[in-house]
Amino acid sequence: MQRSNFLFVAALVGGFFSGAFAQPSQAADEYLYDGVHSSISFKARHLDISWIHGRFNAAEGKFSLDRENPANSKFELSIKADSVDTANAQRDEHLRQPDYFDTKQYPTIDFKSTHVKAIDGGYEVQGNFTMHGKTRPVTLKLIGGKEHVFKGTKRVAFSTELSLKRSDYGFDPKAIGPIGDEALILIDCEGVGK
Amino acid sequence: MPDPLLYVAAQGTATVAGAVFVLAIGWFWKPVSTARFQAAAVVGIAGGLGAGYYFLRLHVAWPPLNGLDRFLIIVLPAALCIELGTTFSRVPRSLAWLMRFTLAATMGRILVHDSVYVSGAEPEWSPMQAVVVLFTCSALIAVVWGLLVFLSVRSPASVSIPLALALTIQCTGISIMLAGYLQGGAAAFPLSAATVGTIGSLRLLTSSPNVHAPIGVCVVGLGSLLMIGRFFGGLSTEVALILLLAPLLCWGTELPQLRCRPGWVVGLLRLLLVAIPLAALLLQAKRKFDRETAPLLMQASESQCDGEMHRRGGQGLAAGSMPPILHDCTPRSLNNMSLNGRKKGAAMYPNCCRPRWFCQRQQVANRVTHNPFPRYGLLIQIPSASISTLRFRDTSSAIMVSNLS
Repeated sequence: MQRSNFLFVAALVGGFFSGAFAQPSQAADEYLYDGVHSSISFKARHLDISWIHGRFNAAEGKFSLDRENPANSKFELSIKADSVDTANAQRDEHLRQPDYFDTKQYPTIDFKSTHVKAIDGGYEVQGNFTMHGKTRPVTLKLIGGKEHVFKGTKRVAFSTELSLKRSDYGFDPKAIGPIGDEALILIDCEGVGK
Repeated sequence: MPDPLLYVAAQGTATVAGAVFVLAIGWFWKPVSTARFQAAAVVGIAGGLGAGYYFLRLHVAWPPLNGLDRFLIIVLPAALCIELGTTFSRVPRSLAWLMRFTLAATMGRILVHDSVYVSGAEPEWSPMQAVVVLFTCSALIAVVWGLLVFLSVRSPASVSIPLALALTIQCTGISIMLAGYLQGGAAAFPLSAATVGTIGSLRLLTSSPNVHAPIGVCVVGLGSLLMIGRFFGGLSTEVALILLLAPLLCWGTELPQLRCRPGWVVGLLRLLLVAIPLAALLLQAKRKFDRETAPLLMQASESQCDGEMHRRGGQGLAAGSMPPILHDCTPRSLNNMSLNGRKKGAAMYPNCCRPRWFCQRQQVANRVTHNPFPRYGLLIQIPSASISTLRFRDTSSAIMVSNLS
């Protein structure tokens, strides 16, 4: 009887302390960028009358998503500039040259988040965007975040758009020419749970 | 987009600035000596380069980020400083050559620094490959440098050697531009122009100037531009090699039959010998440009005119009043088409079975006369008997032919 009372008290005390002082054990979910089900495309003005569309076919990245505490979330994306594809091989080769992406000198276009906060319908992610050797702070609005478990693997997806000026990233102003300075990057990203 | 007028103006500025610097130094810094002339040549080229690049407004980043930045900020000033340093009589000749070869040995590594070739998790070159490639480049540049300086010492008409180098640098710039790298090509123009201005004014001041310094700066400039064009631009290895070795054809005048000719004849022959392969190379580069890059530009220039036509055509077809396309002289990119056994030039005009020159002439005619229906121009020109011999790619056009005949 004495022994059972001791165990009861110990369980109560233990339960109190674990409930009062222990941190919640739920960690941020880790995801890898799914290149098969994701798309990074861009469009730029041509002669200020139309849009030229293109895409980057190769990218890698990862993100961790903490829904309880979004500030702990992190997003990283690295686009291979060499994989630029505008459905015209000659133009792609021209875009890889130093007047444009200079892929031999700057092989990747990178984004790394610095601060994440939840907004209605997704997350607002502040971070550093590096292209053509220049890094500038940008803010992305990631819309989505809906989870889906497919064949036992958790998946989550986001969409975002980023408008930038090529002249801000060290592109030669003379090379801007008939292609507009402003470009729009559209990212539809699906992450696969680790 | 390339701006030929800007390039010409920058070259003019560089030439005049180089000449003025040399003449001013020659006028005010007396008594004149060989060493002073050499120093004047270096200052003249530096002044010409400064003026030319300022006029050209090349986009250069500080700290240097890419190969061109490193060429303009590190390699070229280093070459000028070394050549200026060697003009002092206290500097032994062996030390001068040691500095020159050190620059030749390191400039390749400087230019490709931080690029995919030598940096990153998986560099494109293995360490051994990088050593072999960079050593080969440096050795070739050092050999060209040494042989040209040796030639300038042993034969008259030494001013023709830097002029031949200037000619080669000019062709290098154009070749790099035609290969698709505008800024890299434009960087060559002030260098060649400043050299011409400097050498011209030196020749006015003295009949046999020492041209070691201009040769040094030009060889370093030529080698760097070729490496930038090859490793970062679209210049091929063969073209880069020919351009680097072309100035060595100046040695052709050392043949016994030519060696004893008057100085101006020897100089002219040297320029001619160097110019022949360069002209052939430029022709080849222009053809490649016409084949690969020009269609993109032509599409750009034609897009507004064609856009109007497409809209009209679309409306017409929808209303049932506009005939289908019979002959399409609109150039197309080579990417999305099959050649169907036709010769390659015709591939620019996928819906057209006429020779390429015919389509181009048709386009020019459409532009000159402002023909509102450029696609239908041939409908009037082709006799009905010959229409049946035309081959069409789409059935709508074939139907149109049968209706006509």
